[in-house]
Amino acid sequence: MEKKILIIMALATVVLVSCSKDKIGSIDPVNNEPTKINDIIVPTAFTWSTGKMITINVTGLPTIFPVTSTLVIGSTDGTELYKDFHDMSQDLTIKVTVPAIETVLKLTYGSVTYDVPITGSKADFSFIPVIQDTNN
Amino acid sequence: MKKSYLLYIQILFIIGLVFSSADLRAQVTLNCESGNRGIEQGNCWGFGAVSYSRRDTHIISGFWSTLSNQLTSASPESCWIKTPWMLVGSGNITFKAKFDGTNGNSRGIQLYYIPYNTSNAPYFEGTPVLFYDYLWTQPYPTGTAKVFSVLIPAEIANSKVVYKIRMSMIGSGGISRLISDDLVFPGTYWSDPANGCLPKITIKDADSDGVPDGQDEYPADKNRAFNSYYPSANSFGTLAFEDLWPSRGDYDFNDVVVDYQFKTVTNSSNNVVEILGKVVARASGASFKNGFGFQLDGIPSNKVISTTGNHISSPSIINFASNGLEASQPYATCIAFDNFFTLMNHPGTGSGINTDKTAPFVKYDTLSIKIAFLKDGIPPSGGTVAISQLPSTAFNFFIIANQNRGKEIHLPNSIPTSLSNTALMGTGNDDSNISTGKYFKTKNNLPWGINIIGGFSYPIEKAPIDAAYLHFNEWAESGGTLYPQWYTNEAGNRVSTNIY
Repeated sequence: MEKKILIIMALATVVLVSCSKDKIGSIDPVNNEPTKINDIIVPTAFTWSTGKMITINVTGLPTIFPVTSTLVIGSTDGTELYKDFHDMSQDLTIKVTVPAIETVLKLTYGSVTYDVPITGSKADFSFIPVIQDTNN
Repeated sequence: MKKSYLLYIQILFIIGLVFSSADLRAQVTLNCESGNRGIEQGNCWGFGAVSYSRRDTHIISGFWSTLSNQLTSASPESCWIKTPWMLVGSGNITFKAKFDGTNGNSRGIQLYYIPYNTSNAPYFEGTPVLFYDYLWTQPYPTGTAKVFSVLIPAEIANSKVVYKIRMSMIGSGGISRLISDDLVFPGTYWSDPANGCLPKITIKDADSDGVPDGQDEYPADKNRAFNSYYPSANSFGTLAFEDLWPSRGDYDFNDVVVDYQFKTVTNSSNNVVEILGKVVARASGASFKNGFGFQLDGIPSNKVISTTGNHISSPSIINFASNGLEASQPYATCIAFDNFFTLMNHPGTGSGINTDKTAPFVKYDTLSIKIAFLKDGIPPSGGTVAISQLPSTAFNFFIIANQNRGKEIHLPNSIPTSLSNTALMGTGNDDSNISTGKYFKTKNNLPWGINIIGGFSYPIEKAPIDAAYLHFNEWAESGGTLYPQWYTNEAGNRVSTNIY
């Protein structure tokens, strides 16, 4: 009889300790929900930023005369990011950081504004209009 | 052979540009040798149903000529070449023309001048006026081109107002197309490609820095012209750090929380005049006395004249150079504050500052930091810094943990400064590897700092960020592809009880 009681007490202790251990180990004390941030595996190239760096490549136009004006890079809501005084005939590389959800940049040169699509981490723009000639 | 051919094309193109120079020859010319009609169009020439051709039988001179569509319309609006706006000179307009076939009932060329009309937006072209009309007789020339020489009408010759001249190509029947080349228009080029190809105007430039007042953000200051921003003119970024590096922390990302916005002022030569930074200290859910600063990667310290506006304790663990930057740093390193707890006072209760909702809120402290690169337009001994050398990626933010100067904690994959204790790299949970360029990340690429563009409410003390933001882990595991707006207040994003 004593043996039976001892065995029951021992089992009960094991069960209680196990439950207690589970509770302490798996439930966050603040929000009572399990979390797993320690266990996630993240791509090596991930920057841990909600912004993304975009390289804007501007191709110049061989102009008849020197043409200089203000070049502005902005986001689609009109927010200005970058400004310089640019010779239209020169190529230019600009790096800006924009919110990761942006898909288009606004490029204003002088009085004219262009939409420049973002492809990956690049946005390419040319002052030379793209023309499809079929006659030659 | 191919090389010499290309060289010849280049020489012809350069000659074309030089001879286009109204300052030198007072002529506006079109010889097509750019080989790309887009270049001429960018320079304000107009083309209607006309392309460039380099087919042997099409070439009149050089390697390219213009080629019209089939001339089956008598309308002068169908097929044309139009000059940019110009101040028309005197003498004769000349050009050469022939056809690619002999068929067709009629073929003709007309010349018009187009006055400027202020009320006819967006191109401001007035009604074209015909001043030359030529009708070919058959057989149309397909070999040697006919050379045209047409006197500029007296009413527009040497005028002080601008005109365009349009060459219209007309016809009926048949499929032959008109080829033209070597168009020369006496006069001065007067279009502005930067202003929608409208006529050039005299600009006002009060400070004579070359930047028109309407584009100059400092029209009365010749030493300043433009502002650029990081992250933008209308928003701040937020940096949120864990401070137990190289050991992993509790990932509540509130041990140091600062907002930032940097305005980079440049002059008309695109050199940086100054950086005006706003650094807003918001929270420190830590017992460590942490500092915060940033290195301008690649910018030598001797290119900075002065640094002001930071908050430094006395005594401080930081040594400063005479220009206000941290001493003994090859690259410009600005310490914004060296101890969060001397910048903002602990509220008396709770474990940190502004991370415990039951403790009193401590008003944010905003530092206005100024880093000067030019004084009255003059750089220091190190020389100037171009705006292109200072992209947003040059701002390399870090905290200094608990007054231990060597214990820098940067955003992931940012390089440590020269005063960092690199012996700590790769210890504890840190998996930095200088040879592979991996910095401040764990084995599974978890960071000690994050950079949120566009406003961020940080977690309360001891609440891991993924318990505050339900899609944080998916965002990270997907490399930023999934839930890119995990930090916003959209439904299902947040557990508000876990956010301060």
